[in-house]
Amino acid sequence: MSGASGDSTQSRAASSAPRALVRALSTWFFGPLALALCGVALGQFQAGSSRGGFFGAPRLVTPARLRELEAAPLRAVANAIWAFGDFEAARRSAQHELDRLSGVGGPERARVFIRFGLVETSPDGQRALFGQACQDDPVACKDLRAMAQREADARFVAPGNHLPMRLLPNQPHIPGH
Amino acid sequence: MAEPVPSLAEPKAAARRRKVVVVYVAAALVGFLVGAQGLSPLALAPTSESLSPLARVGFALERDALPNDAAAYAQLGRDIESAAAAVPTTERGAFALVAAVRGLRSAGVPDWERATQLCSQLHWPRCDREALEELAKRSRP
Repeated sequence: MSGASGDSTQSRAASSAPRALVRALSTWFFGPLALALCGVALGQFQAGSSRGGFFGAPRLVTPARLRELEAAPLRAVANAIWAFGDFEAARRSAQHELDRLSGVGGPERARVFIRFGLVETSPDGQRALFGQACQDDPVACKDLRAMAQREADARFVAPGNHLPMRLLPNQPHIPGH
Repeated sequence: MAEPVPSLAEPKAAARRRKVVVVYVAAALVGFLVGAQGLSPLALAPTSESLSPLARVGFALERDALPNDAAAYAQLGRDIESAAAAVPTTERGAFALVAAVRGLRSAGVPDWERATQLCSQLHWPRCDREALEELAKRSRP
């Protein structure tokens, strides 16, 4: 009788040991971990919506906004060079911009091709560059002249501050061009 | 009438509950601080990235006017130094010129003298004041 009672006590203890372990883990590990993660999420959210410190900039931003902000100084330099830089500086800057935007496509890359095209001297090179711009931004390409005019207007020194002949209105069609 | 005998298990359970509460509150608090400081490698909220020096320079360039904040300008000065590394070597002169015409190193007031000097070093076709003022407008990202 006492042997049977001892066996049942042992088996009860054996079956309750894993349960006790799970309970202890839930209480002392998973519970605090879950709360800590909730705290991280809340902290990140709060830091993203609160402003202050650096000229009122949010302390945390989304990854997309971070990429945009990190590209801003490079875009500012490219715009400055396009506005007043000499021929070589403008070409080099366009090359750097294309490297930076490689694999991105879209209007920003199309704009660089237009700039590159405006300072390109050979008509064939110019046609190829404008073609690339059209591939990157088919919508703006519908009015390539307006797009090129905007970039030419943004440049204050020659070359590149005037539309090339082939984009001027009422030009006679020259076969092969 | 007999007094109820206090159980020994009760204070033990209460002490355990207190411990659990303290641990949970501490976990949530540490998590919040880590998240708010941008120290967590986990992106649990959409806003999870802290601003790099380059991003802070970008933020300053995006603004039309910056508030008069000496500490923020001191930080910006250090950030410009760090951000220059991300700019191609051949364009660092232009980057310094943009910083000068936008007054990023001079409390928001354009440093025309330095800008003229930098522009001349770059051998750009126009370095007159009118051109530099236009440059300040055109150099917005």
